[in-house]
Amino acid sequence: MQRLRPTAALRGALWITLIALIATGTALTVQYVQTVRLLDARVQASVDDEAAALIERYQGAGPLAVVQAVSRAVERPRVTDFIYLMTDVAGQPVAGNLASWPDEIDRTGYRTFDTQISTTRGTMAERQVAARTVLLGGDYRLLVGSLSDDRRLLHDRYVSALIWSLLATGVIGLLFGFWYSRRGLAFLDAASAAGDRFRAGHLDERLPVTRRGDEYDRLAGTLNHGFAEIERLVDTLRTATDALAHDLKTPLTRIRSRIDLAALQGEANGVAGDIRADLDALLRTIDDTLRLARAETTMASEFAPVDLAEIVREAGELFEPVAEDRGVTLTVNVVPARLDGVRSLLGQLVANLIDNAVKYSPAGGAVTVSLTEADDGIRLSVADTGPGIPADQRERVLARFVRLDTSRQAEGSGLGLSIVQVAARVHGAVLSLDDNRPGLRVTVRFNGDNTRRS
Amino acid sequence: MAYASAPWSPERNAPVVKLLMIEDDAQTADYVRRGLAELGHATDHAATGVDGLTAAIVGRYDAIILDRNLPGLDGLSVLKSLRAQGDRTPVLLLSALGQVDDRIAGLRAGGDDYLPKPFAFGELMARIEAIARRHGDADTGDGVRRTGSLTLDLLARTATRNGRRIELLNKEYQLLDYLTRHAGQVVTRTMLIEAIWDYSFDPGTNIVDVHVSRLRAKIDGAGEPPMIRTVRGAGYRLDAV
Repeated sequence: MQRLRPTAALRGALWITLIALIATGTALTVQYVQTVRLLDARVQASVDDEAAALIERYQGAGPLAVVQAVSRAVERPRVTDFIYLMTDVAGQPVAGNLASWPDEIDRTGYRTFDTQISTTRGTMAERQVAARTVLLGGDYRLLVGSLSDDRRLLHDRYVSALIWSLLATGVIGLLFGFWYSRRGLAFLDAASAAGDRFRAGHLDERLPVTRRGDEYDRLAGTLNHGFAEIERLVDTLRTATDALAHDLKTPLTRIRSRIDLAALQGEANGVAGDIRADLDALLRTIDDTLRLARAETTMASEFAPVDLAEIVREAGELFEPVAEDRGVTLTVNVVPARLDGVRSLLGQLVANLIDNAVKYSPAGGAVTVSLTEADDGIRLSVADTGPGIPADQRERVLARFVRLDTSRQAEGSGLGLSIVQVAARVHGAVLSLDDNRPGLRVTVRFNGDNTRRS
Repeated sequence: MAYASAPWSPERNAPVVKLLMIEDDAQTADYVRRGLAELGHATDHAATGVDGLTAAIVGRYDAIILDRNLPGLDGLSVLKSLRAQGDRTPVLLLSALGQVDDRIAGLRAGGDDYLPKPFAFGELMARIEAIARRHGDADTGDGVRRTGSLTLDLLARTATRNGRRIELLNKEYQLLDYLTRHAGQVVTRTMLIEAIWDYSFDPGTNIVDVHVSRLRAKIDGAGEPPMIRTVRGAGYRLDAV
């Protein structure tokens, strides 16, 4: 069975994880951006309020009043810590809790910056500030801001939250993705395994169907339906073959018995002999055809461990005297070879190939039967030194092995090679014809899956 | 295959056997019965499985010819019932299904032999005599079988004729073993193929003939009468000479 590569599952898992990561990252970022905006808007609103109040004071009472207000605010800790800095024409600070005018701020408007701030205890600390710059009249500049450390905190939180949730998503995504992909692949695995077993003759093989009713179940249902249909057809063929055997043979048995009885009673003449010869030929054809049909519908349950080497050796012994009578040298070389198969079919395969090779070899020729072990399994080859088959006709001959070609002229029913072909296929073996220089070499390659070394 | 004269003749002093034929096709049964009568055998006929089983249990037969395909109680069931009751009468199964697995199923159910339809009388007779005889006699038990001038050492698997050692290959010994076990009976080519090579199919023309003629050449020394005779249209018979 050919297993699906696990990398397919991994690839599926990675895709699912990637999508989960992008979704998580986007959600967190959107939330972060919105929170930052909200915070900024709040800070700006309170800073704007304070700035507006100071501007109002300036417009009503002049710069000194602003200086007083700022100084008062700085000295007294309040719930909202505002940052102030008021500079004069020369740019010198006249009031506020900022040490100097920050470099980052050269224009009016809203800015965020880090700066040293004198605390109420008189020490300095690095804080983040969001501030608005306002130009008062008389070249006084006023900076009103608020501490916006929350923003920095939020940023840090965002980064760590992003890292942790991406990590978690990644791990969970990979696990889930792997499981999910495996489920699909497990189905494919099960399907191809079931298909292989079915093809090997286990016609009752079916795919498991869950109660989920998903696509896999629908596909399994469709495949199972196909399997069931094939099983039904094979059953029908077997039954039809048996029925045909019975229906054909009953009248033939009567005819045969009649002739035999006539012969026994001395009523037979020369015609009886001819009829019986015809009858024998007809019977052989029927037998071979039925045998072929039966072989085609071989079930895996008929398989058993078989010693192919023994079969080949015995077939060699069987044909050796025949070959000798024809002046043909028959050589048999075998290595131990066991496989699961149907003994009688393999016997016919070997016997038919040897029979054919001996028949077509001229006197003084040689037939070599060898059973060897290649990397991909057991190999049976039967080579003769007969006329062979031209290269361009081998394909056609192989095709004729398959079809019941009535034009074939040979001794017997002429279905021998068809049986070879069917027997090979039933055992998962491949048949090929090659040039033996001179002669024909028929090679049967048994699939390694089916063969066991002894 | 020429078939000018009958392979079996009534004059042949074959032992008369009492047979039961369980076969639903009346015409086939009739012809077989008449044919067997020509050879001096008495045959009773039953057309259904139930009748056949009853007859087999009540009557004493030397052998039963049983068709597998019977209406109602089929042949295999008849056979199994018979064997379940301890009846060891040899049974020759007939079947239109000449396939290997059917054959195996038949023999497993307790059948002694299996003959696909249609059959030649010669084949039928040879097989009936083989199983009927097998039923009766056995080897003496000293591990040696003497058939005329031929002696087989069943343990050492060697053969001598008139004191002359015969060198035999494995299959040749098996062939001779089978022929001597059925000495005086006709043994068909199909029986030999099945018994010696365990092939359930015909491996090709005249293969058995070639093997038998080799065996003949080995066992018949100069001046010795031939032991293995060809029975025309049927097979071979080894005579105890």
